Amino acid sequence: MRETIVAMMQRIATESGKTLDATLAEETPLLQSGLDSLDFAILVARLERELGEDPFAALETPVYPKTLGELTNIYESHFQN
Amino acid sequence: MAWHRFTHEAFACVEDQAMAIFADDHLEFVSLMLALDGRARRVLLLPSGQHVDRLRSLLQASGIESIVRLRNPGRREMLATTWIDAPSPAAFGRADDQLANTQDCQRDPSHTIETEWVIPTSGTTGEAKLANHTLASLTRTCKTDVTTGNQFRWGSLYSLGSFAGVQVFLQALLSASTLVITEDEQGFGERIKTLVRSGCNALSATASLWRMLLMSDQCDDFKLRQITLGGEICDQGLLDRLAQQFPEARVTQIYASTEAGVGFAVQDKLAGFPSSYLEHCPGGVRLAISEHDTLLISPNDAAIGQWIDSDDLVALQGDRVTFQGRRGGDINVGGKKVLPHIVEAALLSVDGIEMARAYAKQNAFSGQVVAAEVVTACEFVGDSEGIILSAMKACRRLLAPHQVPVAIDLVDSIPISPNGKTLR
Repeated sequence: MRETIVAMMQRIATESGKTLDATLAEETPLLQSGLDSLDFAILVARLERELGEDPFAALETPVYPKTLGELTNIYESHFQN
Repeated sequence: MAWHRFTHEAFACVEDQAMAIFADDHLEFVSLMLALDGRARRVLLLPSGQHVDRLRSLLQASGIESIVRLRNPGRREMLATTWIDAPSPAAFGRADDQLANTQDCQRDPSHTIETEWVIPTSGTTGEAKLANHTLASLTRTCKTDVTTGNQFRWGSLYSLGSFAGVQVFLQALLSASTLVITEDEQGFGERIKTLVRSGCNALSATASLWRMLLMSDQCDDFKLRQITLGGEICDQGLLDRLAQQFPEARVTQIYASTEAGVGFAVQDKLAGFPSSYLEHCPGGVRLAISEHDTLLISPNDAAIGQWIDSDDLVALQGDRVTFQGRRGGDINVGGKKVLPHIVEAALLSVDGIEMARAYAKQNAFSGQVVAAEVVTACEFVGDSEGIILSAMKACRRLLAPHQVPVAIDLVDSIPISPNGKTLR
């Protein structure tokens, strides 16, 4: 799951002419990854296309992930159930 | 209300003239606004971070040919206008030095004129829409209690060349609050760090930016007392999360129409607004719901029956009115408005695409994103992947990043209304 997410982040960074933080890791704050707010919006939309569902849309109360690890968890928890 | 008037001779050339202000640095921008108020007849605010084509169309729409700048041409030389070089801020005094003394400075009535402020509305690339204001119309809803104002340190994530940005600036100025200025180039994370470090305790931003802020590792250190939201529909989930993260903060949602020059505020931390506002709305504004379910808005001093249709769809449910999106199918991507026909024109420019429809798709981060569907000519049906790729390429080339569809679907048909328009 993490590879899928990072690969998509990389694609989006390339398309918008940005550079993804090379040291991107579990604890990397998403806001320092090199992507901006529009890119995150595109990320969840594209992941929905690829994975078939959007975990954020299914959440009762909104969650705002701070790190790559937290973002990955949201996806993993959703698709495990 | 008092302003300090800068008397440097360099500004003699702008007496009673019409001009635009341009500065990427917000502090310089503020200095120029203060310098020109009361001297220039008309001032157009050019927002930072804009494509040169948009700047050009704003200048054209306003009929203004001169731009005042403080330094550094760069790509701006591409604009065919007269440039007026203002002296460096040190020569006429930095704005931040003057803010603390605003209430002591007097305007010289015999030498000042009522400057008209021209502010671009948040349109799309190439769409130049301007709103004309006076200081009176811009400060109609500003609070001027200096004692309370002194307790606030405002931050703004809006460009100063926008209605929202100017509102935050004027509110801070008139209530003698401190305004913490951050620059677009800093990057979102850095800007939040700067605001937290400077002791910012009041912040105005769009719903999408507040969502981003909640993702920041700085947010536990942010001691906010005032949260202001505007520019987009604000969902209850976000409001609840903000109340949870910043329990001492007052949460104000601003609904404002740049065209009408008026708006109203909601302070109860609930999405939408109380239906009682339809009878009596605070702030001297009248509201009504049109027969096609859009919000009508009218300032109190306008003649009865003079309504401006906001084109915002609303739904009345018991004692609450909630926002449901835009009537024309306009899409709001993180506070930036996108007109579907602009996206459709880009799609239709692709060989083989015969019909296109762009629409809003809900999104957890930006409220909405653009999605599209297209119908291709028979000959191209076999190569659906190729044509979608060409379509995306065309969109990236012709549109601003927030206008580009996140997905383009191939469909067999797109419904059209009886008078030939794409059904939204």
